Amino acid sequence: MTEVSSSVEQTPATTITATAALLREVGEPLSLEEVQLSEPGEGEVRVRMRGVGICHTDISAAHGVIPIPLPAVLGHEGSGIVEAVGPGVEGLAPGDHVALSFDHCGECPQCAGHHPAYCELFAPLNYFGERLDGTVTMSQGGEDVHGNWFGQSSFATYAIASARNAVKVPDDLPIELLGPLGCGLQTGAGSVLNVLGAKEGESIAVFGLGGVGLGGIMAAKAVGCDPIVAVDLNPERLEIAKELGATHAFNPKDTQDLVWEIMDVAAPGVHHSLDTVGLGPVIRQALEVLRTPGHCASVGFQGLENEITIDQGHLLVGRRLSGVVEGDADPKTFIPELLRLYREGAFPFDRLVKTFPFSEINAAIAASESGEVIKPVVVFD
Amino acid sequence: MAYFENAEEVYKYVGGVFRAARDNEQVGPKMAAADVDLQIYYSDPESKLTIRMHEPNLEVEDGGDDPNADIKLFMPADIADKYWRGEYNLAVGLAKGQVKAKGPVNKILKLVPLTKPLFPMYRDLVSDKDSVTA
Repeated sequence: MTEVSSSVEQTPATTITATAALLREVGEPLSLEEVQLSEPGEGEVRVRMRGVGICHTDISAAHGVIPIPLPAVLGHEGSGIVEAVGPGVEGLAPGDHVALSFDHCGECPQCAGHHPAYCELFAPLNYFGERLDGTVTMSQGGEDVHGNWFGQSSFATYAIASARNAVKVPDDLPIELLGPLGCGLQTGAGSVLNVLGAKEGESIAVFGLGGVGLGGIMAAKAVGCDPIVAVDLNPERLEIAKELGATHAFNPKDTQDLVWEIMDVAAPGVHHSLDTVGLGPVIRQALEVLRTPGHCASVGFQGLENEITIDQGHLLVGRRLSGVVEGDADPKTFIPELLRLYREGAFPFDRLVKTFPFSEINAAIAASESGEVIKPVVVFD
Repeated sequence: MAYFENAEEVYKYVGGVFRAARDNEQVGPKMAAADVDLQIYYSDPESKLTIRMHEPNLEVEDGGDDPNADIKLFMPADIADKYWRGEYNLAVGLAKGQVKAKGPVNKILKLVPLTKPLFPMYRDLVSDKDSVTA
């Protein structure tokens, strides 16, 4: 008798060649090169990529802030179509449309408690570009290519992704645009909905209006927060924040006392604040605008060592500061929730997107770094 | 049963692979550029190594104990053996608490990829001991 470990179709062994954007040296542009993909292993799927968002974390890794071994393929806001499934994969089949999110073990107490963003193995599963057993999903002429960044490495025409990452999405939606739901947008919206628990009529201030911050603005609007205060140095970002639901917008360059002005909007301070910048002075302001009790979620990433100074006396009266990863979301339930809001017109994330062909991925990254584009998405033919 | 019989064996083999790293033209300069002092405390058998990585040198001190080292690692010596054979994921060990760390561990994780070419060298180093214990 032969045991079959999966109820879905297994794909015969083939060597798949993909074009991938390789990071060969920290700080250098990505290089489009051919790589060979391994077969999907236990719990993995091969996805033909249709789109991938550019995220600040990719850029941080490209600049050496995160110690991924090189050569590596970045990209962790991928979306595409499942082409093959490995052993043990359930619930996914070739042809399924998927948005890819972060990897997690699925077994530790945090995963079991529906907080996979705080998985015990989050760092080794997402940041080091290889499977836990040290093998890699991509190679080039016998050289290891670290193609398991966030369990996907989706800056490539194909990805070997963890099935845990792959969230099945309806096939009537624009698949090439859905990747950012798996990280940046999830981080902003999840922080507001899952961590801060913002509700109708409550006030919120959002510091930093990139894809994460604007995801937070849209989520706050969707649940009926009022007032919604947006803060950024970029006047164009303030304008789009207002279009997406912000009731008040402040440019710190144009204010004499930002904290005072925000508290004047929502006296005696806001119920919630979201820091998407991660710089000490910004986090301090995000705390100082809170009423008591109030809650600040900080998601901005400025490196794994990032000392800041805050006033503990200010915290004492019931104010909270929480560090948040991935919006403390479970992507399998949260991405469908964001898509439900999208269909209702309450989460128009596509307004943040500008698409670039894969051949222009370095231009897409530059557009993100310069602030010219809020959410560049690279699309594949 | 622990792989290393005594501290001297830890120094011979684990200290030895750090010295091999120091002498390797590819690996040595990159590790020296880390600009950190690393203190490792091993258990079973009790032993310790101080690795000072500052350009242009990488110094290995068997039995060294620098309380002011930038980074301190604590682990069973068996884990060091498995790591240098290429059979242990240090990031997983840190996440699961099998390896404990103090200090900016990020700087050490950056060095992990550099150590991969040394795994065959380590396996050569311990092959004499393996053949005796096999």
